[in-house]
Amino acid sequence: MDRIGDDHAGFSIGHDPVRGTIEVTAWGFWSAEVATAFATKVLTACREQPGAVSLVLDMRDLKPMREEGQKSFGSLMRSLPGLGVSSATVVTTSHLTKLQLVRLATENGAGHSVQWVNGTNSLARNA
Amino acid sequence: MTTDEEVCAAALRFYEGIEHMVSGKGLGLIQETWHHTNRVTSGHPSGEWAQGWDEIFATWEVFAGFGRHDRGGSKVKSIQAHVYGDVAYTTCLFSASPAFGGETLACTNVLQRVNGAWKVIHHHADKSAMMGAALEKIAQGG
Repeated sequence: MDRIGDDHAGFSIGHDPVRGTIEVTAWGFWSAEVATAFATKVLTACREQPGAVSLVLDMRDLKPMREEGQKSFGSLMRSLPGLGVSSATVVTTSHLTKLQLVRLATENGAGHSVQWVNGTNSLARNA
Repeated sequence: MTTDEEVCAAALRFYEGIEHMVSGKGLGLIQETWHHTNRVTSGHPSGEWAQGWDEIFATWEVFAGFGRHDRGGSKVKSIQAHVYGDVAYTTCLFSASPAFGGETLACTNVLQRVNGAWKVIHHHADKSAMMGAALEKIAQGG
């Protein structure tokens, strides 16, 4: 599993070969460095697993992003059609984060190709 | 102008910034009215607590992404200030613009006098499912 950032803010990328899923988990308020690495790392992971059928972005614990994060997520959304994955799912809990991601997906031509799922975040999971 | 009136004026200037934001005029006024430190906090009608100016500004940017000239019309009433030295708080009722759900929310703002000017250091508004639904509809192109 590839992990970028620290316990406060970052993301990890894993691959489940049985389910054919690339699983990305993001958390916290990203620095510019973490944000910039996001699209590059996720795109590389997808290209290295050509048999993957789905991409799951677990953004339940991600806070709304500054400009670098928005650019990075937008870049990933624009690249979705060429990745070869048959489905992309984004899981969110924070309404503000979801609103930002929905807008970015829509503006980058992926509004209709992403499935949005409402989850529970760490606060609720640990309650 | 009394100190209470100064605090109310500073808080109302912040709400003028919100009206600018939803009208597509940007975040300049909101930036001007807040204290930019790591020790400021905000809780919006949608979302969780934001800690520190950088994180808070990112949340305002989410709302600003929905700003447009025909989406204004927010209103503030019943504002009251309570001053304790260089710190004060206000309570008010904020009615979101129709495009943002139109709901009336009870709000609290804490301000600090910084170099003679009152700056917002904490903002909290009631949760608003109607605002969240309105924004999600806009985000999805509705």
